[in-house]
Amino acid sequence: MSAQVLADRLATALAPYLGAFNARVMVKTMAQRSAGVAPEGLKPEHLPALLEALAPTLCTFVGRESAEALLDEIRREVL
Amino acid sequence: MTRYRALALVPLAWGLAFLLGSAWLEGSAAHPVFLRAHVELAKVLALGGAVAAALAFERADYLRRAWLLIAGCMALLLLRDATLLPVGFDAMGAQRLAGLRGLLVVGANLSQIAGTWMLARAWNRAALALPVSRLSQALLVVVVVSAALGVTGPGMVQNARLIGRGDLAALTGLASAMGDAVSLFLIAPLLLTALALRGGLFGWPYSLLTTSYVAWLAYDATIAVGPALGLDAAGARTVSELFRGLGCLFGLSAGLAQRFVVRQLRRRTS
Repeated sequence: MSAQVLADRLATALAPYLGAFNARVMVKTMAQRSAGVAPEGLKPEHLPALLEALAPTLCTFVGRESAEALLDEIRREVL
Repeated sequence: MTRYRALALVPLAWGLAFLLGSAWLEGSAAHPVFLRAHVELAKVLALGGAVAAALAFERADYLRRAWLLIAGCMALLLLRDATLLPVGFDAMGAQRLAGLRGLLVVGANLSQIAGTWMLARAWNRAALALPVSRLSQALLVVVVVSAALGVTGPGMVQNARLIGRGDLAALTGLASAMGDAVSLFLIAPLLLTALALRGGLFGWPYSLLTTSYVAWLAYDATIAVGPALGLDAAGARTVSELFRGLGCLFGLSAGLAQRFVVRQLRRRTS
């Protein structure tokens, strides 16, 4: 899977929840924050840290349990 | 998405039913009873929506506290309304009863402000990006604050004058108007959050809650400027009660949308 495909798949998986605009922004922000790379530089090994960095955002809106469920779903979808 | 759209339609159906019922009973002895029943039922439904939203979360979750605080506002307002019932509250004496009602209204306003503040700052806590420029954000804040002050300002001035003349009962009115103003200021961050999450499930509670607060703004505006717009007392009452009902019912819809979003995610993996 290419890096761009990974970033796109993440944004596509998040868009139904955060909206298309923030899904893209989140992938970009979290790629920088958790892996120190641009979305184009994302690799599958960055995924665990990136999803962990996304957790606080999701927890704020839907609580810890639902956020964990959503992260599991995204992990399955993206990999 | 279908059930979220249905949640947006429920308050509109409620408003239509209210207008039909009000027109049908206008001028009859049942009309005041109809208006009071409408107000209280709408508040009970708004309380139910906020409680339903809060209970969808786990104990330590951020938005659970926010929704509980919003529920607290409606619970205190209903308690205050209960003191209007002829069930023995008069025995407290007029002054003490006015004091109790004042405390309940002030507590309700504080609860509403705290809950709305928590919901309104969630975008910041979640590190969301806002989809409009800083200039547009500033313009929105100016418009909302001006509108809120425009509709609550006259009430604040009027009550402040009464307090200046020694009428301490007007403290309740002043606190209520100030509480309304602060709550209405928060329309700006709520709307920006709704825009930021547009097209996503997480945006539904914010869109519906923002609509609820806009309806409350219209409620205050009708009271403040209705007579100047040529509405007679009965017309102003009907229009203001319509907006109050919409404020409560969109609050119910927002709470239910919040609950559906939280539960929907959990159900998928259980």
